[in-house]
Amino acid sequence: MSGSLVRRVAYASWMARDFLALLRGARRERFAGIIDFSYQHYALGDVLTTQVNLGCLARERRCSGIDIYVIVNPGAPAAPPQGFITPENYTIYLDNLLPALLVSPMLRSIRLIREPLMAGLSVLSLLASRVATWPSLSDHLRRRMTYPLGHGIINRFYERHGEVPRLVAPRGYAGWAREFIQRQYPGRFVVSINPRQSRLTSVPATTYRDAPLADWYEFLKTVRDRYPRAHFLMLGGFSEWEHTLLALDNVSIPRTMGLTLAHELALLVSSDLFMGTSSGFATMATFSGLPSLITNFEAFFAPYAGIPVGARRYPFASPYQLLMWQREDARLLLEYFETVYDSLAGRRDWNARWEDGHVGRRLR
Amino acid sequence: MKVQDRRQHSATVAVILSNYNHARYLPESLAGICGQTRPADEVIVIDDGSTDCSMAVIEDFARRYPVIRVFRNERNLGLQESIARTLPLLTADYLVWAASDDRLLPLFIEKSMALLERHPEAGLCFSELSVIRDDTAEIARFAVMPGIEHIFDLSDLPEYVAPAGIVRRMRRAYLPMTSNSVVVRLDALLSIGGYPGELEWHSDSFAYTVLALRHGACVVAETLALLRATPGSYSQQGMRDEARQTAIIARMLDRLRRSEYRDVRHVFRRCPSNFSPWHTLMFRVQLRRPGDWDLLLAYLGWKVREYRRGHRLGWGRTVAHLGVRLLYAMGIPRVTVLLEKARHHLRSIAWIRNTVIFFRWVLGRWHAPWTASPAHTVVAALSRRASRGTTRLHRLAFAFCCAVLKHRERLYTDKMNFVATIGGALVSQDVVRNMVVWQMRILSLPERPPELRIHGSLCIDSSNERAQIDRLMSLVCVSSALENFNIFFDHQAAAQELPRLLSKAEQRPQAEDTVHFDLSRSAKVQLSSGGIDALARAFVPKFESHRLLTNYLKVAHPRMFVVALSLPEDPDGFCDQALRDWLPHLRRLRSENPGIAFCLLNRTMLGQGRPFPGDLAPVRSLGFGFQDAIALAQSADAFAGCFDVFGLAALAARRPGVYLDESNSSQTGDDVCFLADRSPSACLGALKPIMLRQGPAWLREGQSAAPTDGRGEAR
Repeated sequence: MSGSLVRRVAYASWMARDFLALLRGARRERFAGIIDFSYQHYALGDVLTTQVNLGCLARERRCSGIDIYVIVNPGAPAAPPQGFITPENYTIYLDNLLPALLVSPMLRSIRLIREPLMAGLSVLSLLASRVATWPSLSDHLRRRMTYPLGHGIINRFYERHGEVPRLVAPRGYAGWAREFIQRQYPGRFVVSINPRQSRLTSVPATTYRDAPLADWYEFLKTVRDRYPRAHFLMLGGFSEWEHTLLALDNVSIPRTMGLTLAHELALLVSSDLFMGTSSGFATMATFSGLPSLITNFEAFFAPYAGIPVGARRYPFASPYQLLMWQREDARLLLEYFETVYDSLAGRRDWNARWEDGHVGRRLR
Repeated sequence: MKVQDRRQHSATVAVILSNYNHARYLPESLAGICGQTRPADEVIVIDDGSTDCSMAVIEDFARRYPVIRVFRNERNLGLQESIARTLPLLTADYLVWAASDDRLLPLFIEKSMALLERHPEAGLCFSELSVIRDDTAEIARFAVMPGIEHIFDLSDLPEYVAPAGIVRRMRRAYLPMTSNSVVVRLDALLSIGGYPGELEWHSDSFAYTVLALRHGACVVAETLALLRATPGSYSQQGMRDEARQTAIIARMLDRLRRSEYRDVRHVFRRCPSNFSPWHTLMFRVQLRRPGDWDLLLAYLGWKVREYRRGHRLGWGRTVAHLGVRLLYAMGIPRVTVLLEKARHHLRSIAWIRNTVIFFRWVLGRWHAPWTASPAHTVVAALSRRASRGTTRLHRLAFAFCCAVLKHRERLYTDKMNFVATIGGALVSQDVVRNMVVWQMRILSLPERPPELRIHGSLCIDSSNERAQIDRLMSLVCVSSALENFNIFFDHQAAAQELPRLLSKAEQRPQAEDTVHFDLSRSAKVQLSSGGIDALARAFVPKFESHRLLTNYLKVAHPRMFVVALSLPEDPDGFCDQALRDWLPHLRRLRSENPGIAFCLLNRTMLGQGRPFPGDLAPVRSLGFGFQDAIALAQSADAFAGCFDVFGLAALAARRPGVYLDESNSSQTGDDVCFLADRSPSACLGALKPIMLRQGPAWLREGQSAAPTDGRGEAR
């Protein structure tokens, strides 16, 4: 009896505290991100950019943590442009993408909500608690989100603070990835690669952005002969590579070990270099600060990224994160690789060499 | 380099650009033209008597790019006049009319000309219309905007659309072809007399519509050029001027009545979407011209149909809505004012109704299924007022509503909250299994109403760098029991929410270990018939995985007896240690019965860098994920191995086999064997009689799977 009374008093005091907090307009310690797949896209790059946007906004509001509300209504699981995602198969797409929500160091919690009523109540509750959200409540109710997601928020944050929030290995995988690389590839210079091959997937899209595989094979074979210390990790879906890669002994494919996107993102962050087409993995490399070469960068995306066509880097990028607007070939890939390999593996000062113009002449 | 590029192409293309006081945008526009991946053969820039520093910008570009020819009008002649004077000077086969404030993307000419060279019969090539907003530099792709995407999305069109196809598309929706997104065949354009200058800012779209209807058009379903949306632009200014717009519509209708445009008028009557850019102004002009009433009727019918479709209304409400709009358009002020007032009052009534519903719901007297929209209306309105800080009363009302709302949310949530925590460092095989057991217990609770949805919460230590929670997240995705799910990585966040949830949950007359479940502790599976049913309900059907797996089994293991195998995993999540012990035993069994195929459901590194041992198929290394492995456990002919999540899935699907679990040894039956001894020899020894009982006749006779073609023998 007394226990019950104590519980009731505790609950009443809890409510009173909330009420007073509301009167003061408090609750500034957390920031909420709303990812509602009924109008937002199942796309790795966009989800990762969302994480950085959330990080920027949370830091501007001096919030200490981010709660992510993932709303998936099984009755309408995807936005109209992704009509191939249906109530029968959405769990596969959701499962594949969820690890991408674990990469923000400010992450406090993930709430997966599948019940429309609960989703409405949760959003209202955020409003009632005066918790800042992105997108804002009005944008969320209007289902307003422009794709592809631009870098407007990130660039503005960079202008004000001179840095951007970084993405890290998915929560619970950083240690695993470090140990895995140390055990499997000890002393090797590990390069993550992602030559995009949408034409090999079940839903091909914008296939003109696909990488020239013959050039990649030539590049990988040349590196195998000249730099036996280098080892490549091929990232991406299981269908996105040809069996030719299996024959190259300096290439490992995490998907053939049964690993998932979470493992791949962790391995990417733990590797020494990323090279690949503009894609979700390139976004992860960019925002994790890893040395990277992003090839075949789309002119269409330039205004979204807030850079002129032909720009060598994102405004917030490190000096050794390069954008390449033309289609890559074996020679270009090798030149960039050698440049970074000499600087990082050889422990030479990359920045000084770059600024002096000793390296990467052709890439400029 | 550019000269060489140009020589590669047989057809030539010219770009003309007329500028009047757009020095601000010219660098971007000219850079777009000169930065094409397939350079233009001829670029003509006309300065139409600008008074700003436009000429300096143009001359700077002309110095750097010799392909640019510059003309200057001493006084401002107007856009149409400047363009009309330039057309006879052109020698190229194709023409791009660029605007001085728009932007061409680098692939514009290359992609458009590639199609035009493949389809020389086409009159033009056009691409998707996108807009760059002047104030924010934000790009708006109309093709992805809800409500209008059916107009601007060109992805359903083939690369060349014949005139009949153009008509079909126009019957469905307006087809936007504006000058900056079009490459037009010059001889076709000149055959209709060039751009009809009297149509001013509509001259380009009218000419392109005529050409597309007569010659067909090539389509690039992506954005190759950006139109700048500025309030002061030539077209925007003109379209806001109602008197000039009216005159232009009249001139266009006059033009359509000429004999040489009879075919076009016929199409416009069949496809009234072509009138839609003029909205209701077109009605007013057509109404005054009895000779065009046939067009008016067609347009009216189309407009009603579109309005009904866009607003998802019934016919009655559509007619009422449009009636009001028509009256407004026809300028009957008194009626309009009255109707506006009535609409305002109706809106107030709806607001009051929503408020009443909201407070009845708050007070618990509204039990009908609740939709969030009335609550949104009320709270958002109060929030707006409170944020303006009008009065203290507003703020207090808002805070009160919010507090009550949160109270309601908690009551709703508390009814069905269950919490699980992970104590250990790793999401091991047992933890994943316990997650299923936990759901199974929740589903078996006798007090649980069947319609009640369950909220699960999971607390994970955020400092744990090796947890690997991907399998738990997969289970949450495929779970039918857990409708909503929270994962807390932060102890502070969990500490804020969970004690309250638990204190409420513990008041329920349910087993305490179900309400707050430790996934790291070993949990016994209740194998009563109700327990198995609950287990089956915990896994939702995975059609996609089942389809993939079924096809895989048919192709890779035709006519074989497939055994799903789950082995103990190492701390890093692979099963390599156990696999080394099991492989010789598997090999021996397969040599005795070549018709068996073992599919390994765990992750393994064994096949890296060398061919995988042919005695078992590592399905996780073949592109199948965790969900697919669960589906395989449920669809294989038999199961062997650990009583982990795969074992539970197989048992839920009532698969025969050997399950390594000491706690259920007494449940062993004819086809399902629970073994306490975890050695491979004991497991496979127990599997053999089950396999012979369940398998086909040839297995009992010790033959291979495919005696006719020998494929089974080869494996």
